[in-house]
Amino acid sequence: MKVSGPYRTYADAALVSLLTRGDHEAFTEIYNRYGELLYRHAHRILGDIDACNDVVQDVFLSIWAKHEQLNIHGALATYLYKAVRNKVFDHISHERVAERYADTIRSVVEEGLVMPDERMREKELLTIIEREKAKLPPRTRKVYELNREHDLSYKEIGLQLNVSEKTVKKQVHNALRIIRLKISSLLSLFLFLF
Amino acid sequence: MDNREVRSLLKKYRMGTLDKKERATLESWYLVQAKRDATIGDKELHRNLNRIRQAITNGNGRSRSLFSTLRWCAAAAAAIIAVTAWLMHEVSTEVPDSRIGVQNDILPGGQKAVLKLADGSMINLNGAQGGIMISDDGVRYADGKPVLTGAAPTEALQLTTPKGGIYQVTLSDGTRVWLNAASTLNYPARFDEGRRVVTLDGEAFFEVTKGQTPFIVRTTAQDVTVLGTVFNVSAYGDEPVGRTTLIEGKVKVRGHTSGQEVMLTVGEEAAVSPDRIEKREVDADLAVAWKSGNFRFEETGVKEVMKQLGRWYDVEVEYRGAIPEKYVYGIIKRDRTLSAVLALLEEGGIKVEIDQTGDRPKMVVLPD
Repeated sequence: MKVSGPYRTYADAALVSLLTRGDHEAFTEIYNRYGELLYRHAHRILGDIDACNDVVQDVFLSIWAKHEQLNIHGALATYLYKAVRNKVFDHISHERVAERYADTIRSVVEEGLVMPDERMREKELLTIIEREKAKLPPRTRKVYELNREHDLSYKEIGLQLNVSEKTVKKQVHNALRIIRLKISSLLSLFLFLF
Repeated sequence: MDNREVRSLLKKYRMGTLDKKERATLESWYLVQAKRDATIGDKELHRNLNRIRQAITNGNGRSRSLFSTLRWCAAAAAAIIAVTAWLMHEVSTEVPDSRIGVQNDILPGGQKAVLKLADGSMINLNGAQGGIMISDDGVRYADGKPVLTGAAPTEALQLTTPKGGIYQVTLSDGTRVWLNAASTLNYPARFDEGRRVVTLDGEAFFEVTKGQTPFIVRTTAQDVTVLGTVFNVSAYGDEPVGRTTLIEGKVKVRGHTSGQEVMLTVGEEAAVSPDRIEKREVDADLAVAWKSGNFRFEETGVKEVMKQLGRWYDVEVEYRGAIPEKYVYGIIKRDRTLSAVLALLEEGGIKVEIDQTGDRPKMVVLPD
């Protein structure tokens, strides 16, 4: 049973901005919005329900655990898909699981399906994401279309949040400043210990 | 490449020492897998999505998932499962679902309806039967048992379901109609030459037999005209918009007040308001989920959810404070008790109390 609140009309970038400030409802909304898409994607790759559960759960638990340090450039969808990809790689590289995927990995090499160009692989992934979004039922799909903006301008985030553009800019700068301070104090602590 | 090389590739990934070519292999494998045609059933998908949702909402600690841990203890698991199954069997045979939870829980609706004849007399239809049909010698239940015998009725009939009722009727031309709760269907025992007309207040699902004459469903707001097709009409008096959803075939929808007409094709829905008709593509399963025994919500607001529950469980709805601005997505079986359904909503943050102090039970929705 999924229940969304007023955040359901917020653009992805706005949700991310709220998430980094510790807004748990924004986190839940991101899960509501992308959970199914990511799950289906993971299932196509892994085929195993338990593995999918682990992967998707881990992705979101990690995101919440490090929400203050999150640094999402570009589209949220791309970030999430890559997070899933990393967890998938983590999963299949476990000793007791590797066997299951060995055949398919081998056949990719044997059938000459390896794409050596990194940029082409990236492009292919983005195409896959768009295609998967398109396969969703019409009403859900519309939510993604509304949120396709990669870099939502400060003004637009402000409009979505009913907050002035200046305030948004200030808040982002404050957030960055805090992060910078935290990192530098962390670094000095680190150096102190060693 | 042999299995040993695959294992060393993955080991290098774990160590973070993949070279460009190896990374290309791994990522290309990923892309190939992603284009596979693997489908997962909706029910299973949502069950797991919900499980994960709970885990990430409560999970501050990282529970290394139960799933993989269970698999580890294969031998022990077999024993555990056997014992658990035995225990659950013992428990489930003792405590039927409706007794768990709230005292005096509110039971879901079922097959009930009243048939009113032209002379005004009313017959309470048998709940053990799900439907009735016109026969040559009167009206009979779906299995042939008589409701009313004598000459075949020639005049107007009216089938009404109460709140919490659902019933099916087969008309004289073979058209089958399923009536949802709190609905009334007026229909003639025998259709006129030239056209087949019924009127509906509430909601019904129609399977119209192909005929020479058009079949018309008339509601307060609209006329739906078909030749032979399958569709759902929702026209409750307390809803501002009447909806017709097409499952199969073709229909024409005409708004009485606006005078506008639209043709629907499969997968489309017409939303009729006084000033216009809006046509759009929908997930038809949503509109007819009630017929399959489910509530199905897709971005459905709290007010509409409560209305549907109110009709099926025959309870009033009250709002203590502002209506929560929440949207529900999910499928819930209609045979659950009300408190079971409300418990699910509560998980999503929608709090509803059942108040049985008055002469009629009511649901009180608490503000956010």
